[in-house]
Amino acid sequence: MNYIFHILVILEIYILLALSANQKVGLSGLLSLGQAVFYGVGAYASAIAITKFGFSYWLALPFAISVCIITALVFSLIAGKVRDLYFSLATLALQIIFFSIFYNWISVTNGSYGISGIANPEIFGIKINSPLSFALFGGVIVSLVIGFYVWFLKTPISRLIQATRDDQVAVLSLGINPNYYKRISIIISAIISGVAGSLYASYTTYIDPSSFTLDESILILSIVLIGGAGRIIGPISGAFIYVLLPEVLKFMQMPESMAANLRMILFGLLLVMIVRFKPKGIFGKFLIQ
Amino acid sequence: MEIVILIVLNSVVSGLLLSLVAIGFSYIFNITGVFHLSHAGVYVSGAYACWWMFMKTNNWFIAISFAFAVVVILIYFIEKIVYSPLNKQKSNQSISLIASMGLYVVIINILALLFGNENKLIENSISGSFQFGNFILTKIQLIQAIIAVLATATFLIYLKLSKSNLTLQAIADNETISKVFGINTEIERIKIFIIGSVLASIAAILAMLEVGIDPYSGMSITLTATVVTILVSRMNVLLIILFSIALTILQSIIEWFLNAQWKEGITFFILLLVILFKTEGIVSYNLRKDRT
Repeated sequence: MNYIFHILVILEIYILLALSANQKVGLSGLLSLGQAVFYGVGAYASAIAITKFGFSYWLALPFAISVCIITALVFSLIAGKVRDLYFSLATLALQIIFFSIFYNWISVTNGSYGISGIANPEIFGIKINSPLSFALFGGVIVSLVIGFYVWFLKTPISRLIQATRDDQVAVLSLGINPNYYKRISIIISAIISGVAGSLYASYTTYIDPSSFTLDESILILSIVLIGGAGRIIGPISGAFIYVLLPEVLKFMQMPESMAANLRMILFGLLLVMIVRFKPKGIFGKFLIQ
Repeated sequence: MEIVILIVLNSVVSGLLLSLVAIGFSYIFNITGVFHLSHAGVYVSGAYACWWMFMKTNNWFIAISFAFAVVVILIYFIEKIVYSPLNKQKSNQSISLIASMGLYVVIINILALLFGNENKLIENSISGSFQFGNFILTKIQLIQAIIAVLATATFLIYLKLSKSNLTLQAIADNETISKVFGINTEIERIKIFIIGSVLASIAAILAMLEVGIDPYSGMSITLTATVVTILVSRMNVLLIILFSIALTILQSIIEWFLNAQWKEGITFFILLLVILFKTEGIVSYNLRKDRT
């Protein structure tokens, strides 16, 4: 039973990551190859706050969000200056730079050894340390984020963000600065990724740079594109496909060593086929052009 | 001083290998517009095919020929099944980048499934070294340098003799008009992909001789090749070679004074600076800057 709850926690983390990527890709039309940067920044900021500063999870979480917001501001100032493929390249560069920092800034991140002993959260004295309690805790966070999006997608800011995606020149002609709305989008995305990172760090109680690589960024982006960008259901269904695919393979008596590679092969093929035959993704609204 | 010369000497050899990958990447990107990240997958496929066939036959000629055949078939199907239809749909560079990422994931995981994740090395394939005064160059390094120079020279001669420069320029500028003037753009595109991929596979085989190969080893060199491509920004073979060597020297210096793991971070920091601040000089600024 614990295994099912473990899968549920992983699914919740990927739903958060996919929703955060959808904010950039689906709502703003910004194809980012650096989504794992904020996931990593959130995880490391939480882990450092808990293990080095002695913060509780509830203090570490706003600390991690603050660090993500500052990073996103710098990120948006840099990447916001370029567009299309060059935006993707700028985010790719940031991904590699941040991975180098995670890996090499040993005095802070402990390099390849990572940070262990990250405390679990507590609510009213009850420690959240079992897969079941984490699944419930993660479920609450995911529900809050989905609730936020149900509200946010109806707001004028969200519509302006989508207008910037669809026709930047038209937005500009109305005297509105599109970069401002891109920046808001990048910051919202970073906050959600940071929360996912914080949840991941406190769940696994150990993090190292290998969880925040370019491959992870590609994976998060793929989840959104397969599920479909621009709507809430798209990234959620993408995360379901990614997390539940290996379980299906296990039912087919596939050895675990093969299942991991086979999952990625199927996922990669699905990505190519989606791009080729259904560019909006399974449930998507926005077509990347 | 001797150390500096040694670093430069080793970097020149590594830079020549990088330049083969970068020439291939740049050739594909600048003409077809495809940001071909699965170049990394094609790179490792060539090396794996060579390693596998050498293990079966112990014959370099058969192994290398087999590697080229595998790479040509692989890239032919990639172009025919994925890139060409996307091009016909008038998909933009972001779409081809996404497709390319998907292909990369598929290729490396198939290789990992077939051969495992561990490094494959042909033990004692070529041993020995040469001494030039106080400096030692291994036989493998010398072979790498000679073959890389020969491959680049062959590519340059091909460009010159085939007089394809203008044709390629026409395709890069406007593929539809090129078709109107009778250029078979589909055939030209396939040729471009094949030549670019064969150049990458030569670099992969040469690198495999020295350090072996694993499914993930293609991404690092391909990412560095993308940096060279963006820095140079046009299909100029000599500039690509110069930038490749300069970048490799810089990486060696970083490796020597800091840590090997910083080299990619600093390389991409340079890319970021160039994307953001480099004006008209090497790159057309209009393509990149969001003026709105």
